[in-house]
Amino acid sequence: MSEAFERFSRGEDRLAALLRALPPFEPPAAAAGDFAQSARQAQAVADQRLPFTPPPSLEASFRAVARRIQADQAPRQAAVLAQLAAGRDAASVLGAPVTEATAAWLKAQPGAKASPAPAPAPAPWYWPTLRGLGFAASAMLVLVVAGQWLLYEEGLEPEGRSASLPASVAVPMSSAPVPAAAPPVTEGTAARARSAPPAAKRLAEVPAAESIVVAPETRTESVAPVAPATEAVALEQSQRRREEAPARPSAELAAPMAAQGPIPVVAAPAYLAPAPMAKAMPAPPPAKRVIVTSLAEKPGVLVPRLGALAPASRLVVRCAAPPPAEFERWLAELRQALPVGVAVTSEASASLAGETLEVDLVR
Amino acid sequence: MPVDDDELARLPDTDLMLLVANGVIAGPATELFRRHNRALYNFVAWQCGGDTAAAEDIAQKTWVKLMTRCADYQPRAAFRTFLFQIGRNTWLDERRRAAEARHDELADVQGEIPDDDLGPEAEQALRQDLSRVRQALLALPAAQREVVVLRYFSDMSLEDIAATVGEGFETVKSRLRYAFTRLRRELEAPP
Repeated sequence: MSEAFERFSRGEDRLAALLRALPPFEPPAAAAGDFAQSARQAQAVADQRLPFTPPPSLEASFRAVARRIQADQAPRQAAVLAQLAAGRDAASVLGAPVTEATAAWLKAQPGAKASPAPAPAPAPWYWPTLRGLGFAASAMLVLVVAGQWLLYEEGLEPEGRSASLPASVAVPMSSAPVPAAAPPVTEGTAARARSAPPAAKRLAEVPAAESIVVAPETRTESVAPVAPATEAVALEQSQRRREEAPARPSAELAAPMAAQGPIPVVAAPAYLAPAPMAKAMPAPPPAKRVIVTSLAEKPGVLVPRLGALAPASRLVVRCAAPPPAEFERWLAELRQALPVGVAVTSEASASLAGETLEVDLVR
Repeated sequence: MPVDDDELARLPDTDLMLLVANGVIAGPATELFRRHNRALYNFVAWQCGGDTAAAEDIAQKTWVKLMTRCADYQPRAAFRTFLFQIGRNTWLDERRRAAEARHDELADVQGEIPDDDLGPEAEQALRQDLSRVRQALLALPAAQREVVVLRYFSDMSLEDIAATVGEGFETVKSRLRYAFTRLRRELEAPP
Protein backbone atom coordinates (compact mmCIF):
# COMPACT_ATOMS: atom_id res chain seq x y z
CA MET A 1 0.00 0.00 0.00
CA SER A 2 1.29 3.41 -0.97
CA GLU A 3 2.61 5.40 1.98
CA ALA A 4 1.74 8.59 0.10
CA PHE A 5 -1.87 7.50 -0.11
CA GLU A 6 -1.94 6.59 3.56
CA ARG A 7 -0.74 10.08 4.45
CA PHE A 8 -3.37 11.53 2.11
CA SER A 9 -6.03 9.34 3.69
CA ARG A 10 -5.06 10.64 7.12
CA GLY A 11 -5.20 14.19 5.79
CA GLU A 12 -1.49 14.74 6.39
CA ASP A 13 -0.14 15.41 2.91
CA ARG A 14 0.01 18.48 0.70
CA LEU A 15 -2.86 17.43 -1.52
CA ALA A 16 -5.16 17.18 1.49
CA ALA A 17 -4.02 20.64 2.54
CA LEU A 18 -4.83 22.01 -0.92
CA LEU A 19 -8.30 20.49 -0.82
CA ARG A 20 -8.99 22.07 2.55
CA ALA A 21 -7.79 25.40 1.21
CA LEU A 22 -10.42 25.53 -1.53
CA PRO A 23 -12.33 28.82 -1.24
CA PRO A 24 -16.12 29.09 -1.21
CA PHE A 25 -17.87 29.48 -4.54
CA GLU A 26 -19.36 32.81 -3.47
CA PRO A 27 -18.93 34.81 -0.31
CA PRO A 28 -21.98 34.42 1.84
CA ALA A 29 -24.45 37.25 1.77
CA ALA A 30 -25.20 38.83 5.10
CA ALA A 31 -27.74 36.47 6.60
CA ALA A 32 -30.69 37.88 8.41
CA GLY A 33 -31.42 36.21 11.68
CA ASP A 34 -31.72 36.58 15.37
CA PHE A 35 -29.79 33.52 16.39
CA ALA A 36 -27.61 33.40 19.43
CA GLN A 37 -24.04 33.68 18.21
CA SER A 38 -21.93 32.48 21.08
CA ALA A 39 -22.83 28.80 20.88
CA ARG A 40 -22.13 28.76 17.15
CA GLN A 41 -18.82 30.64 16.99
CA ALA A 42 -16.77 27.48 16.87
CA GLN A 43 -19.01 25.98 14.24
CA ALA A 44 -18.77 29.13 12.12
CA VAL A 45 -14.99 29.04 12.23
CA ALA A 46 -14.96 25.42 11.17
CA ASP A 47 -17.35 26.17 8.36
CA GLN A 48 -15.25 29.00 6.90
CA ARG A 49 -13.25 26.60 4.85
CA LEU A 50 -16.29 25.11 3.14
CA PRO A 51 -16.20 26.06 -0.50
CA PHE A 52 -19.97 26.18 -0.98
CA THR A 53 -22.16 28.40 1.17
CA PRO A 54 -25.92 27.92 1.41
CA PRO A 55 -27.94 30.93 0.28
CA PRO A 56 -30.16 32.78 2.80
CA SER A 57 -33.22 31.72 0.82
CA LEU A 58 -32.62 28.14 1.89
CA GLU A 59 -32.91 29.09 5.54
CA ALA A 60 -36.07 31.12 4.94
CA SER A 61 -37.77 28.31 3.06
CA PHE A 62 -36.64 25.80 5.69
CA ARG A 63 -38.28 27.83 8.46
CA ALA A 64 -41.53 28.11 6.53
CA VAL A 65 -41.57 24.39 5.84
CA ALA A 66 -40.69 23.55 9.44
CA ARG A 67 -43.63 25.62 10.67
CA ARG A 68 -46.01 23.90 8.31
CA ILE A 69 -44.75 20.44 9.21
CA GLN A 70 -44.97 21.30 12.90
CA ALA A 71 -48.59 22.23 12.42
CA ASP A 72 -49.24 18.94 10.67
CA GLN A 73 -47.54 17.09 13.48
CA ALA A 74 -49.41 18.93 16.19
CA PRO A 75 -51.40 15.90 17.39
CA ARG A 76 -48.25 13.79 17.72
CA GLN A 77 -46.54 16.52 19.68
CA ALA A 78 -49.57 16.92 21.87
CA ALA A 79 -49.61 13.20 22.56
CA VAL A 80 -45.92 13.26 23.55
CA LEU A 81 -46.40 16.21 25.86
CA ALA A 82 -49.52 14.67 27.35
CA GLN A 83 -47.60 11.53 28.23
CA LEU A 84 -45.01 13.61 29.99
CA ALA A 85 -47.71 15.48 31.84
CA ALA A 86 -49.11 12.12 32.90
CA GLY A 87 -45.82 11.33 34.58
CA ARG A 88 -43.95 9.17 32.07
CA ASP A 89 -40.24 9.81 31.68
CA ALA A 90 -38.79 11.32 28.52
CA ALA A 91 -36.79 8.24 27.53
CA SER A 92 -39.79 5.96 27.47
CA VAL A 93 -41.85 8.54 25.65
CA LEU A 94 -39.24 9.23 22.96
CA GLY A 95 -38.17 5.62 22.63
CA ALA A 96 -34.48 6.12 23.46
CA PRO A 97 -32.38 7.51 26.31
CA VAL A 98 -31.88 11.25 26.32
CA THR A 99 -29.78 13.64 28.36
CA GLU A 100 -31.14 15.37 31.41
CA ALA A 101 -31.01 18.67 29.56
CA THR A 102 -33.25 17.27 26.85
CA ALA A 103 -35.70 15.83 29.36
CA ALA A 104 -35.78 19.15 31.18
CA TRP A 105 -36.35 21.11 27.97
CA LEU A 106 -39.17 18.79 26.96
CA LYS A 107 -40.79 19.01 30.38
CA ALA A 108 -40.69 22.79 30.18
CA GLN A 109 -42.78 22.87 27.00
CA PRO A 110 -46.41 23.97 27.28
CA GLY A 111 -48.58 20.89 27.56
CA ALA A 112 -45.95 18.77 29.29
CA LYS A 113 -46.70 20.03 32.75
CA ALA A 114 -49.26 18.13 34.81
CA SER A 115 -52.43 20.17 34.90
CA PRO A 116 -53.22 21.31 38.39
CA ALA A 117 -56.64 20.43 39.66
CA PRO A 118 -58.89 23.05 38.18
CA ALA A 119 -59.76 25.68 40.68
CA PRO A 120 -63.40 25.51 41.59
CA ALA A 121 -65.39 27.98 39.63
CA PRO A 122 -66.35 30.96 41.71
CA ALA A 123 -69.73 30.57 43.25
CA PRO A 124 -72.48 32.36 41.39
CA TRP A 125 -73.56 35.61 42.98
CA TYR A 126 -76.87 34.12 44.07
CA TRP A 127 -75.24 31.27 45.98
CA PRO A 128 -75.05 32.94 49.38
CA THR A 129 -78.63 34.02 49.02
CA LEU A 130 -79.62 30.52 48.02
CA ARG A 131 -77.74 29.03 50.90
CA GLY A 132 -79.33 31.45 53.28
CA LEU A 133 -82.72 30.57 51.88
CA GLY A 134 -81.84 26.96 52.19
CA PHE A 135 -81.01 27.36 55.83
CA ALA A 136 -84.09 29.38 56.37
CA ALA A 137 -86.27 26.89 54.53
CA SER A 138 -84.74 24.04 56.46
CA ALA A 139 -85.27 25.85 59.70
CA MET A 140 -88.88 26.48 58.82
CA LEU A 141 -89.38 22.89 57.90
CA VAL A 142 -87.95 21.81 61.19
CA LEU A 143 -90.26 24.16 63.01
CA VAL A 144 -93.21 22.86 61.02
CA VAL A 145 -92.33 19.28 61.72
CA ALA A 146 -91.64 20.00 65.33
CA GLY A 147 -94.90 21.85 65.59
CA GLN A 148 -96.79 19.04 63.95
CA TRP A 149 -95.13 16.56 66.18
CA LEU A 150 -96.12 18.57 69.15
CA LEU A 151 -99.61 18.88 67.83
CA TYR A 152 -99.63 15.17 67.25
CA GLU A 153 -98.50 14.58 70.76
CA GLU A 154 -101.17 16.91 71.93
CA GLY A 155 -103.60 14.88 69.89
CA LEU A 156 -104.51 17.72 67.58
CA GLU A 157 -103.34 15.95 64.38
CA PRO A 158 -104.92 12.78 63.08
CA GLU A 159 -102.82 9.73 63.67
CA GLY A 160 -100.68 8.69 60.84
CA ARG A 161 -100.76 12.00 59.08
CA SER A 162 -97.47 13.72 58.83
CA ALA A 163 -96.25 16.90 57.30
CA SER A 164 -95.56 16.81 53.65
CA LEU A 165 -91.90 17.33 53.09
CA PRO A 166 -89.75 17.46 50.08
CA ALA A 167 -88.41 13.96 49.71
CA SER A 168 -84.90 15.21 49.10
CA VAL A 169 -84.57 16.97 52.46
CA ALA A 170 -83.46 15.02 55.50
CA VAL A 171 -85.39 16.02 58.59
CA PRO A 172 -83.79 15.54 62.00
CA MET A 173 -86.39 14.30 64.47
CA SER A 174 -85.19 16.25 67.41
CA SER A 175 -85.79 19.51 69.12
CA ALA A 176 -82.18 20.61 68.89
CA PRO A 177 -81.47 24.23 68.04
CA VAL A 178 -82.28 24.99 64.49
CA PRO A 179 -78.79 25.64 63.12
CA ALA A 180 -77.45 22.35 64.38
CA ALA A 181 -80.47 20.46 63.19
CA ALA A 182 -80.52 21.89 59.74
CA PRO A 183 -79.74 19.52 56.90
CA PRO A 184 -76.04 19.72 56.42
CA VAL A 185 -75.18 21.90 53.49
CA THR A 186 -71.53 21.10 53.74
CA GLU A 187 -68.67 22.52 51.79
CA GLY A 188 -68.45 19.19 50.10
CA THR A 189 -71.95 19.30 48.74
CA ALA A 190 -71.57 22.94 47.86
CA ALA A 191 -68.31 22.20 46.11
CA ARG A 192 -69.94 19.40 44.19
CA ALA A 193 -72.62 21.80 43.10
CA ARG A 194 -70.06 24.45 42.22
CA SER A 195 -67.71 22.15 40.33
CA ALA A 196 -67.91 22.45 36.60
CA PRO A 197 -69.96 19.84 34.80
CA PRO A 198 -67.95 17.29 32.81
CA ALA A 199 -68.19 19.05 29.48
CA ALA A 200 -66.97 22.37 30.79
CA LYS A 201 -64.21 20.64 32.75
CA ARG A 202 -62.95 18.94 29.61
CA LEU A 203 -62.95 22.23 27.77
CA ALA A 204 -60.97 23.80 30.58
CA GLU A 205 -58.38 21.05 30.31
CA VAL A 206 -58.14 21.31 26.56
CA PRO A 207 -55.27 23.81 26.56
CA ALA A 208 -53.10 21.32 28.44
CA ALA A 209 -53.68 18.62 25.88
CA GLU A 210 -53.86 20.84 22.86
CA SER A 211 -50.74 21.25 20.84
CA ILE A 212 -48.73 24.42 20.54
CA VAL A 213 -49.52 24.85 16.90
CA VAL A 214 -53.01 23.84 16.02
CA ALA A 215 -53.80 24.15 12.34
CA PRO A 216 -51.52 24.45 9.35
CA GLU A 217 -51.87 27.48 7.18
CA THR A 218 -52.98 25.50 4.17
CA ARG A 219 -55.78 23.63 5.86
CA THR A 220 -59.29 25.04 5.76
CA GLU A 221 -60.85 22.86 8.44
CA SER A 222 -59.80 23.40 12.01
CA VAL A 223 -58.02 20.76 14.02
CA ALA A 224 -60.15 19.87 17.00
CA PRO A 225 -58.54 19.78 20.42
CA VAL A 226 -57.90 16.40 21.97
CA ALA A 227 -60.07 16.00 25.05
CA PRO A 228 -58.71 14.05 27.98
CA ALA A 229 -61.60 11.65 27.60
CA THR A 230 -60.18 10.56 24.23
CA GLU A 231 -56.50 10.97 25.09
CA ALA A 232 -56.01 7.29 25.68
CA VAL A 233 -57.27 6.64 22.17
CA ALA A 234 -55.12 9.44 20.77
CA LEU A 235 -51.99 8.14 22.49
CA GLU A 236 -52.60 4.66 21.20
CA GLN A 237 -53.09 5.97 17.72
CA SER A 238 -49.99 8.11 17.90
CA GLN A 239 -47.96 5.08 18.97
CA ARG A 240 -49.17 3.22 15.92
CA ARG A 241 -48.36 6.17 13.75
CA ARG A 242 -44.76 6.12 14.89
CA GLU A 243 -44.36 3.05 12.75
CA GLU A 244 -45.48 4.91 9.68
CA ALA A 245 -44.44 8.09 7.99
CA PRO A 246 -46.00 10.89 9.91
CA ALA A 247 -49.34 11.71 8.39
CA ARG A 248 -51.53 14.75 8.53
CA PRO A 249 -53.71 15.05 11.59
CA SER A 250 -56.47 12.50 11.36
CA ALA A 251 -60.10 13.04 12.05
CA GLU A 252 -59.83 10.07 14.42
CA LEU A 253 -58.18 12.37 16.91
CA ALA A 254 -61.03 14.85 16.86
CA ALA A 255 -62.77 15.01 20.18
CA PRO A 256 -66.46 14.25 20.33
CA MET A 257 -66.97 17.80 21.48
CA ALA A 258 -65.27 19.24 18.47
CA ALA A 259 -68.43 21.12 17.75
CA GLN A 260 -67.51 23.26 20.77
CA GLY A 261 -70.96 24.23 21.72
CA PRO A 262 -71.65 26.74 24.45
CA ILE A 263 -70.59 25.82 27.94
CA PRO A 264 -73.54 24.60 30.02
CA VAL A 265 -74.85 26.86 32.72
CA VAL A 266 -74.15 25.84 36.30
CA ALA A 267 -77.62 25.14 37.67
CA ALA A 268 -78.67 25.46 41.26
CA PRO A 269 -78.63 22.17 43.17
CA ALA A 270 -82.03 20.54 42.97
CA TYR A 271 -82.11 19.09 46.45
CA LEU A 272 -82.11 22.49 48.08
CA ALA A 273 -84.32 24.67 45.99
CA PRO A 274 -87.80 23.77 44.91
CA ALA A 275 -88.33 23.95 41.19
CA PRO A 276 -90.07 27.31 41.07
CA MET A 277 -87.18 28.95 42.89
CA ALA A 278 -84.63 27.44 40.51
CA LYS A 279 -86.50 28.76 37.54
CA ALA A 280 -86.36 32.21 39.00
CA MET A 281 -82.57 32.16 39.17
CA PRO A 282 -80.90 34.36 36.58
CA ALA A 283 -78.28 32.94 34.23
CA PRO A 284 -74.75 32.70 35.63
CA PRO A 285 -72.01 35.03 34.46
CA PRO A 286 -70.56 34.36 31.02
CA ALA A 287 -68.30 31.32 30.77
CA LYS A 288 -64.64 31.72 29.95
CA ARG A 289 -62.77 29.67 27.37
CA VAL A 290 -59.12 29.64 26.44
CA ILE A 291 -57.82 28.43 23.10
CA VAL A 292 -54.14 27.71 22.53
CA THR A 293 -52.85 28.54 19.08
CA SER A 294 -49.76 30.02 17.48
CA LEU A 295 -48.62 32.57 14.94
CA ALA A 296 -48.56 29.78 12.38
CA GLU A 297 -52.35 29.51 12.49
CA LYS A 298 -53.98 32.11 10.28
CA PRO A 299 -56.55 34.23 12.14
CA GLY A 300 -59.04 33.42 9.41
CA VAL A 301 -58.75 29.73 10.36
CA LEU A 302 -58.82 30.44 14.10
CA VAL A 303 -61.95 32.61 14.17
CA PRO A 304 -64.42 29.80 13.28
CA ARG A 305 -63.00 27.79 16.17
CA LEU A 306 -64.04 30.51 18.57
CA GLY A 307 -67.66 29.75 17.83
CA ALA A 308 -70.46 32.28 17.49
CA LEU A 309 -69.27 35.59 18.87
CA ALA A 310 -71.73 38.17 20.13
CA PRO A 311 -70.98 41.79 19.21
CA ALA A 312 -70.17 42.51 22.86
CA SER A 313 -67.63 39.69 23.08
CA ARG A 314 -64.14 40.41 24.21
CA LEU A 315 -60.94 38.51 23.42
CA VAL A 316 -57.67 38.71 25.26
CA VAL A 317 -54.72 37.44 23.22
CA ARG A 318 -51.62 36.49 25.19
CA CYS A 319 -48.19 36.04 23.70
CA ALA A 320 -44.68 35.35 24.94
CA ALA A 321 -42.66 38.11 26.49
CA PRO A 322 -41.24 39.94 24.63
CA PRO A 323 -43.82 39.66 21.86
CA PRO A 324 -42.62 37.89 18.71
CA ALA A 325 -41.86 40.07 15.74
CA GLU A 326 -44.94 38.92 13.79
CA PHE A 327 -47.36 39.21 16.67
CA GLU A 328 -48.68 42.70 15.87
CA ARG A 329 -49.33 41.77 12.26
CA TRP A 330 -51.13 38.60 13.36
CA LEU A 331 -53.20 40.60 15.82
CA ALA A 332 -54.21 43.05 13.09
CA GLU A 333 -55.31 40.17 10.88
CA LEU A 334 -57.32 38.72 13.76
CA ARG A 335 -59.17 42.00 14.29
CA GLN A 336 -60.05 42.09 10.60
CA ALA A 337 -61.30 38.52 10.68
CA LEU A 338 -63.53 38.99 13.72
CA PRO A 339 -67.16 40.18 13.57
CA VAL A 340 -67.74 43.88 14.02
CA GLY A 341 -67.92 44.91 17.64
CA VAL A 342 -65.74 42.17 19.09
CA ALA A 343 -63.04 43.81 21.19
CA VAL A 344 -59.52 42.46 21.21
CA THR A 345 -56.80 43.30 23.69
CA SER A 346 -53.36 41.77 24.05
CA GLU A 347 -50.91 41.11 26.81
CA ALA A 348 -47.57 39.39 27.28
CA SER A 349 -47.35 36.29 29.43
CA ALA A 350 -44.25 34.83 31.04
CA SER A 351 -45.78 31.37 30.85
CA LEU A 352 -45.74 31.38 27.05
CA ALA A 353 -42.77 30.92 24.75
CA GLY A 354 -41.97 31.26 21.09
CA GLU A 355 -44.94 31.65 18.80
CA THR A 356 -47.47 30.11 21.18
CA LEU A 357 -50.53 32.23 21.78
CA GLU A 358 -53.52 31.99 24.09
CA VAL A 359 -56.85 33.42 23.04
CA ASP A 360 -59.00 34.06 26.08
CA LEU A 361 -62.65 34.39 25.16
CA VAL A 362 -65.08 36.22 27.38
CA ARG A 363 -68.48 36.06 25.78
CA MET B 1 -37.66 32.20 20.84
CA PRO B 2 -34.70 33.63 22.77
CA VAL B 3 -34.86 31.42 25.85
CA ASP B 4 -35.58 28.20 23.98
CA ASP B 5 -32.87 29.00 21.44
CA ASP B 6 -30.05 28.95 23.99
CA GLU B 7 -31.42 25.90 25.76
CA LEU B 8 -31.74 23.97 22.53
CA ALA B 9 -28.16 24.84 21.67
CA ARG B 10 -27.07 22.71 24.62
CA LEU B 11 -28.91 19.57 23.52
CA PRO B 12 -26.99 16.89 21.61
CA ASP B 13 -27.78 16.16 17.97
CA THR B 14 -29.28 12.76 18.62
CA ASP B 15 -31.67 14.11 21.26
CA LEU B 16 -32.78 16.88 18.94
CA MET B 17 -33.43 14.33 16.22
CA LEU B 18 -35.40 12.16 18.64
CA LEU B 19 -37.59 15.15 19.40
CA VAL B 20 -38.12 15.78 15.70
CA ALA B 21 -38.96 12.13 15.15
CA ASN B 22 -41.63 12.38 17.84
CA GLY B 23 -43.34 15.42 16.37
CA VAL B 24 -41.62 18.13 18.43
CA ILE B 25 -40.24 19.73 15.33
CA ALA B 26 -39.90 23.48 15.01
CA GLY B 27 -37.28 24.31 17.65
CA PRO B 28 -35.18 21.12 17.50
CA ALA B 29 -35.15 20.98 13.68
CA THR B 30 -34.16 24.62 13.47
CA GLU B 31 -31.25 24.02 15.83
CA LEU B 32 -30.12 21.02 13.75
CA PHE B 33 -30.42 23.15 10.65
CA ARG B 34 -28.23 25.81 12.16
CA ARG B 35 -25.58 23.30 13.11
CA HIS B 36 -25.43 21.19 9.99
CA ASN B 37 -26.93 22.91 6.98
CA ARG B 38 -23.71 24.49 5.80
CA ALA B 39 -21.88 21.19 5.80
CA LEU B 40 -24.84 19.42 4.19
CA TYR B 41 -25.21 22.06 1.52
CA ASN B 42 -21.52 21.98 0.74
CA PHE B 43 -21.56 18.20 0.42
CA VAL B 44 -24.59 18.27 -1.82
CA ALA B 45 -23.14 21.09 -3.92
CA TRP B 46 -20.07 19.03 -4.63
CA GLN B 47 -22.26 16.06 -5.45
CA CYS B 48 -24.08 18.23 -7.95
CA GLY B 49 -20.84 19.25 -9.59
CA GLY B 50 -21.09 22.81 -8.39
CA ASP B 51 -24.70 23.30 -9.48
CA THR B 52 -25.81 25.46 -6.54
CA ALA B 53 -29.43 25.64 -7.64
CA ALA B 54 -29.70 21.86 -7.67
CA ALA B 55 -27.84 21.77 -4.36
CA GLU B 56 -30.33 24.13 -2.75
CA ASP B 57 -33.22 22.01 -3.99
CA ILE B 58 -31.69 18.80 -2.73
CA ALA B 59 -30.74 20.32 0.62
CA GLN B 60 -34.30 21.54 1.07
CA LYS B 61 -35.72 18.12 0.24
CA THR B 62 -33.27 16.54 2.64
CA TRP B 63 -34.50 18.65 5.54
CA VAL B 64 -38.12 18.00 4.64
CA LYS B 65 -37.46 14.26 4.65
CA LEU B 66 -35.72 14.58 7.99
CA MET B 67 -38.75 16.30 9.47
CA THR B 68 -41.41 14.07 7.95
CA ARG B 69 -40.09 10.58 7.30
CA CYS B 70 -37.98 9.74 10.27
CA ALA B 71 -40.55 8.78 12.86
CA ASP B 72 -38.66 5.56 13.54
CA TYR B 73 -35.29 7.26 14.06
CA GLN B 74 -33.00 5.59 16.55
CA PRO B 75 -29.60 7.07 17.45
CA ARG B 76 -27.39 4.33 16.05
CA ALA B 77 -24.80 6.54 14.39
CA ALA B 78 -23.64 10.13 14.47
CA PHE B 79 -26.42 12.46 13.46
CA ARG B 80 -24.36 14.00 10.68
CA THR B 81 -23.92 10.57 9.15
CA PHE B 82 -27.67 10.10 9.27
CA LEU B 83 -28.31 13.51 7.74
CA PHE B 84 -25.79 13.04 4.97
CA GLN B 85 -27.27 9.64 4.17
CA ILE B 86 -30.59 11.29 3.56
CA GLY B 87 -28.92 14.02 1.51
CA ARG B 88 -27.02 11.55 -0.55
CA ASN B 89 -30.06 9.39 -1.18
CA THR B 90 -31.99 12.46 -2.19
CA TRP B 91 -29.23 13.39 -4.61
CA LEU B 92 -29.23 9.88 -6.03
CA ASP B 93 -32.96 10.10 -6.55
CA GLU B 94 -32.42 13.18 -8.65
CA ARG B 95 -29.99 11.67 -11.10
CA ARG B 96 -29.75 8.61 -13.29
CA ARG B 97 -27.51 6.31 -11.32
CA ALA B 98 -26.84 3.24 -13.36
CA ALA B 99 -25.04 4.69 -16.37
CA GLU B 100 -22.92 7.00 -14.27
CA ALA B 101 -21.96 4.21 -11.89
CA ARG B 102 -20.81 1.98 -14.72
CA HIS B 103 -18.80 4.91 -16.03
CA ASP B 104 -17.25 5.39 -12.61
CA GLU B 105 -16.07 1.78 -12.43
CA LEU B 106 -14.63 1.69 -15.92
CA ALA B 107 -12.79 4.97 -15.42
CA ASP B 108 -10.74 3.62 -12.54
CA VAL B 109 -9.27 0.45 -13.89
CA GLN B 110 -5.93 2.00 -14.72
CA GLY B 111 -3.59 4.36 -12.86
CA GLU B 112 -0.60 3.87 -10.62
CA ILE B 113 -0.77 5.16 -7.11
CA PRO B 114 1.90 7.79 -6.46
CA ASP B 115 4.55 6.78 -3.94
CA ASP B 116 5.59 10.22 -2.83
CA ASP B 117 3.95 13.41 -1.71
CA LEU B 118 3.16 16.38 -3.90
CA GLY B 119 6.24 18.57 -4.21
CA PRO B 120 6.39 21.85 -2.27
CA GLU B 121 6.84 23.88 -5.47
CA ALA B 122 3.81 22.21 -7.02
CA GLU B 123 1.81 22.88 -3.91
CA GLN B 124 2.82 26.52 -3.91
CA ALA B 125 1.88 26.89 -7.55
CA LEU B 126 -1.48 25.31 -6.98
CA ARG B 127 -2.16 27.54 -4.02
CA GLN B 128 -1.81 30.45 -6.39
CA ASP B 129 -4.43 28.87 -8.64
CA LEU B 130 -6.89 26.94 -6.48
CA SER B 131 -9.39 26.91 -9.30
CA ARG B 132 -7.37 24.09 -10.83
CA VAL B 133 -7.81 22.11 -7.65
CA ARG B 134 -11.55 22.77 -7.69
CA GLN B 135 -11.88 21.77 -11.30
CA ALA B 136 -9.92 18.61 -10.70
CA LEU B 137 -12.22 17.72 -7.83
CA LEU B 138 -15.31 18.42 -9.91
CA ALA B 139 -13.95 16.24 -12.68
CA LEU B 140 -13.83 13.20 -10.42
CA PRO B 141 -16.54 10.59 -10.83
CA ALA B 142 -19.33 11.27 -8.38
CA ALA B 143 -18.65 8.23 -6.21
CA GLN B 144 -15.05 9.27 -5.69
CA ARG B 145 -15.86 12.95 -5.33
CA GLU B 146 -18.30 12.35 -2.50
CA VAL B 147 -15.75 10.39 -0.53
CA VAL B 148 -13.23 13.21 -0.87
CA VAL B 149 -15.82 15.82 0.08
CA LEU B 150 -16.99 13.92 3.13
CA ARG B 151 -13.42 13.25 4.22
CA TYR B 152 -11.93 16.74 3.80
CA PHE B 153 -14.88 19.10 4.13
CA SER B 154 -16.96 17.30 6.73
CA ASP B 155 -14.06 15.62 8.52
CA MET B 156 -15.72 12.24 8.48
CA SER B 157 -13.72 9.12 9.17
CA LEU B 158 -13.69 6.42 6.53
CA GLU B 159 -15.95 4.35 8.76
CA ASP B 160 -18.49 7.17 8.95
CA ILE B 161 -18.22 7.73 5.23
CA ALA B 162 -18.92 4.05 4.67
CA ALA B 163 -22.02 4.33 6.85
CA THR B 164 -23.12 7.47 5.04
CA VAL B 165 -22.80 6.11 1.51
CA GLY B 166 -23.96 2.65 2.42
CA GLU B 167 -20.86 0.88 1.23
CA GLY B 168 -18.22 -1.25 2.87
CA PHE B 169 -15.10 0.24 4.41
CA GLU B 170 -12.82 -1.26 1.77
CA THR B 171 -14.99 0.04 -1.06
CA VAL B 172 -14.81 3.52 0.38
CA LYS B 173 -11.08 3.28 0.84
CA SER B 174 -10.70 2.10 -2.76
CA ARG B 175 -12.68 5.04 -4.02
CA LEU B 176 -10.51 7.41 -2.00
CA ARG B 177 -7.43 5.76 -3.42
CA TYR B 178 -8.71 6.15 -6.97
CA ALA B 179 -9.56 9.77 -6.25
CA PHE B 180 -6.08 10.39 -4.86
CA THR B 181 -4.51 8.89 -7.97
CA ARG B 182 -6.64 10.91 -10.38
CA LEU B 183 -6.18 14.19 -8.49
CA ARG B 184 -2.43 13.79 -8.38
CA ARG B 185 -2.32 12.94 -12.06
CA GLU B 186 -4.52 15.91 -12.97
CA LEU B 187 -2.75 18.44 -10.79
CA GLU B 188 0.77 17.40 -11.62
CA ALA B 189 0.15 17.57 -15.34
CA PRO B 190 1.24 20.79 -17.00
CA PRO B 191 -1.54 23.39 -16.93
